[in-house]
Amino acid sequence: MSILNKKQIQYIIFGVIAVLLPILTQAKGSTITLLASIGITAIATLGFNVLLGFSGQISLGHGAFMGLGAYISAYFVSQMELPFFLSLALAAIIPFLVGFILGLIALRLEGHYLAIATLGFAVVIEEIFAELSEFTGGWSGTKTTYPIIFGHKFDKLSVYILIIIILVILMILTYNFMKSATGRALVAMKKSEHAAQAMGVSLFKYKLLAFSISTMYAGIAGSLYIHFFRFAEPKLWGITLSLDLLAAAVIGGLGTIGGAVVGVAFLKVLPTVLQMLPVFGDFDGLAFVLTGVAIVVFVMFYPRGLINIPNDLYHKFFKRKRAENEEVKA
Amino acid sequence: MDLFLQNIVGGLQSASMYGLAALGLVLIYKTTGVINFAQGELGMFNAFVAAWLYANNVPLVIAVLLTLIIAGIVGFLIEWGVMRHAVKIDPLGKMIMTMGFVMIAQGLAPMFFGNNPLYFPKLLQGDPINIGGVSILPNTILIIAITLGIMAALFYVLQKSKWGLAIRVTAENIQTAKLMGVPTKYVSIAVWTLGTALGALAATMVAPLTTVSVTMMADIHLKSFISAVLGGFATFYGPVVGAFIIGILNNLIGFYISSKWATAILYVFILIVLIFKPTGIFGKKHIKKV
Repeated sequence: MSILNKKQIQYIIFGVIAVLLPILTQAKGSTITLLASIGITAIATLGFNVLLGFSGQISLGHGAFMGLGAYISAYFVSQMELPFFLSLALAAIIPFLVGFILGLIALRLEGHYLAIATLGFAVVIEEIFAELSEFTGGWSGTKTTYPIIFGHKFDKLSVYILIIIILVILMILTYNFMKSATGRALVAMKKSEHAAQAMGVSLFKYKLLAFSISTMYAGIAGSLYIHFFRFAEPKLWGITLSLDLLAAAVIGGLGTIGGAVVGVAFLKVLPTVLQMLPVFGDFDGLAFVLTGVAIVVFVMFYPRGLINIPNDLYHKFFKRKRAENEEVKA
Repeated sequence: MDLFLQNIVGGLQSASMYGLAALGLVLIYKTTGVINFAQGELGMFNAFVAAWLYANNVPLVIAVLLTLIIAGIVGFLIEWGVMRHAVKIDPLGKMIMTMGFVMIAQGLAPMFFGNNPLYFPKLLQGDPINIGGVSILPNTILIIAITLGIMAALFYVLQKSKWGLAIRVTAENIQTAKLMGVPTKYVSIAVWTLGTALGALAATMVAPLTTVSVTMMADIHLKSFISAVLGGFATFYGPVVGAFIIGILNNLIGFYISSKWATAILYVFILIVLIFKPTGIFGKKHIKKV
């Protein structure tokens, strides 16, 4: 049993199930698309959670960073004919550097400046995506192919598997990162900025690190997006996408790794479920409204998020001493 | 020179809208500590209300007035129904909640008013008037006049009346204000009502220049925020002054440098301001006691 309690093993099991699910059920193309888009968005949300859940900052520009990753990746693969993994790496590194510079300016002040600076970044970069048509294809969008890795041409299902593998690797890396000295500094900062500062944690340095790392996740997610959907246009990467990431992180559970996946799954499955219902399916935008309501409700009443519901219910009904112990620890 | 003045006048018109929205933002921020990211989208929703009223044969002026009242009610409901019960939530959580309102407004607007953009006319029709070589639309004069009137009235109230004093005291320190017997509950209701109405007014002013659609407020929303950053969140007048600088600069950059890249250039300019004067033009260094 103890090996199952290891988080890393749990993530791998999750990954195996996620890969086997569509293969064993011989899922339709649309189901694989849904699952893949959950996987891609979960990667970006994982990064968003590092930023919001640990350093307590909001970015409205993560959608834009995803777009940056997508266009960079498509450009290097299609125009420069670089190998897929190299352009994936570039799609991670360049957003990281851009995020670093933006953070350098916006994170020096306490409070909300990052949210405003990234709001501006999102609006401006959308214009840049639209205007730089040699690089992005302008308003008509850009196209690319499924990745070719070591001469092997991928298809829809194998790209999906690749997405899940990268997601699981990132989940494990994030977990290990949170247990490292840097991660512990971030956790300390989340509990109390002043206490952390008093212990010698430089708030600016760690916030900057959290922000740049989280933009790297967004870049990776963007690169996978364009190699799965094989198309991108400027208006995909606006504030709405960033708000989706925010919603997924909040609803799933702030500062948790599994929460990113659960939150995204909730967000992506909700519209499909609503459409199947008789009356509610007719209302445009209902999923949007319910997501907004869910954000408010979770922040106000249950900030621990969906991921913690089973655990909390378990402790509520089978009161164990462990629950109390955990309280003390927290 | 005429062209230059022409651009200044155009800038004053945009500045009026940015300024109203920015004033709404800072009123709510300073008294309740909430950065209201939903300001723009609530304005968008209210612009739909105005356009719907107008489409259903309500006279224009009445439609605008009714919209302002409805906007006030929306602001009141948000404070009274939700934000009031979130006192224990930290500022970050409240900011996230306002982003939830963004999604709610964006979802409700097409549900109520359909997916197609609506039309909303200018308050004053009529041909441009020529003043010293600069041709100005009567509507532009009206927008600038209404804005200046509202600002003058608001700042008079803030500085001279008992209510204004209550708002300023609450903004200074909410705990002390409570101890001094300031009814801070009513202050937050008042600022949410007023702030949302100001956002709606900005939205009804911009509506004739574009169309009433879900994305109509994106530009004003961003510019009102960067106005607040430029002017600083520390004073009530800072963001308004910031808005006038941004509005005029925006037009001048658009005309003399590049209309395509005006927003991008402005954004870089604001980032540079943040480097050298991080708390804005009228900012004060924020000292927090633990």
